[in-house]
Amino acid sequence: MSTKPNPPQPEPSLDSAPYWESLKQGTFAIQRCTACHQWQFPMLGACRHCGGTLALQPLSGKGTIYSFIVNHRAAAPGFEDLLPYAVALVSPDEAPKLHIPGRIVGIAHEDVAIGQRVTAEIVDHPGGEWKVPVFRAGPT
Amino acid sequence: MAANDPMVVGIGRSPYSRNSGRTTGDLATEACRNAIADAGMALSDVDGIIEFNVGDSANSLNVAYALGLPGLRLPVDLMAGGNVVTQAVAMACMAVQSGRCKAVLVFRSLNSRSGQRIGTYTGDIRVGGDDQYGAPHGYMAPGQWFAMWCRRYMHEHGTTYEDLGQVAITTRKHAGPNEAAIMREPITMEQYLASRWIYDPFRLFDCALEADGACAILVTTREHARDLKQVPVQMLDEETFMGRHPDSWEDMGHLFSAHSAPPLWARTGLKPADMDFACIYDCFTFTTVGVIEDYGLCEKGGAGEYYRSGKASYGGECVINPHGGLLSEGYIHGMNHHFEAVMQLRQQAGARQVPDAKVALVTAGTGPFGGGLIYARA
Repeated sequence: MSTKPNPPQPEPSLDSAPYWESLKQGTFAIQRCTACHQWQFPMLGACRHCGGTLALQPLSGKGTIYSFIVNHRAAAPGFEDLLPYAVALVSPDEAPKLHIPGRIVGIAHEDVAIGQRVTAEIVDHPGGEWKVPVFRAGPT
Repeated sequence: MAANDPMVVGIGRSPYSRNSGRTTGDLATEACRNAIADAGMALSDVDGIIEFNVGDSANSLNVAYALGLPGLRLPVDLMAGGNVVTQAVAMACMAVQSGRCKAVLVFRSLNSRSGQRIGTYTGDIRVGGDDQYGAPHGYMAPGQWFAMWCRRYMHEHGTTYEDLGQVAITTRKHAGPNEAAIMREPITMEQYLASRWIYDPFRLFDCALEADGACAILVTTREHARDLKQVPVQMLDEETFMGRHPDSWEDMGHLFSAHSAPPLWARTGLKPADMDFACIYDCFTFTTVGVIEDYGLCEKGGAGEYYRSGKASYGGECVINPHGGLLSEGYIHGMNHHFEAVMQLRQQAGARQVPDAKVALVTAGTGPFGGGLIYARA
């Protein structure tokens, strides 16, 4: 039996549950307003721009690194084997003002840079039934 | 000048340490008692308490009870961190100015080293709310959010690791003569650069020094201050600007301070050059860099040079964090900046006294949320 701790698991709210369910089905989608068409992240109950009704809409997964850090210390259990590793805030092409957090894969942490192009991938999240988006660096 | 101008009339604290061996309630009560005694005010005149409590703290009503008070007219417990310190002081000032209260304590008590270490999580956890998106990537600690901000800031304004190091080195130098400071040994740039990475761009010496302790100030009006022991320190004005979760801020090249600074200067008619010293909330070296640039103590991208050339120290332009700040005195969550500002303005700071200090800027918070206020010797 493994004694390795699990990484933190998401605890969805009523607003965010559809986002997590969509990932489970293999689709990386965030909210978009059906009235004013603005994209929204993180998940809310209604559009913050106009109060309109939100619906999940798939993203292309393509985006740009807005900023990044390299974790040399694990803030929470479950990441000890990965250290050091990069986490970025990614601006999706469809909504460049939004920042979506995720691990950067496919590149050494020393080579991660602001402005790099990335593509989202959906991976299994250890310790439960969830899937999460990670971002693969490379040409999009 | 008005009879109801808000004045800080008392300051108090517990010892600062790495392991208090005491409850946060006990520490808070000691700090509050000391602030009341420092002012020479009757305990029964205190009718408001404001505290803030991310991690561990002590409830305002419990502290009132422990002080021997029958109750309070204004108990306020803010579910917030160091971003609300100047707002909390401003609320105390509004309470006495309006006549709702006669005297209000503002305190922070925490065992942030031996008790609840902010940003450190253990065991199998489920994370909801704002951090549910980052936590599955091991990204959920304040040090990580603001490392993210720092990287973007460096990209936009040319700030370097060595610039951050200048803040750590100067702040440590200031802590040297401060007997209350936990870390007083000077550090060199070599030592700074050799200190271990935490969350790159942050090394160990970029991060606040986790500490146990409590700190309190007591606020009343000019009229009531007349009968008390100390030279009162006036809170001239305060401005806060708060956004939501750090990841949601669109422009990480500008902090809360880009919004809170201009109204404060405009309303007070003061300018950065009028500040004899400043107590800048320094949870990370980066915070000081971004905040002093936004407040206009130096130009954007110029903080490293400001420190390197000595302008942030004695004999320069504006002594920043003469007590050693959160980086070296200890992480008393920014309340200790108010204690220091009042000591300096009363000319009671001993070996680290800023000569003839009359006016000071004190800030709180970092990233998308914080505020600043100006104290002046009355």
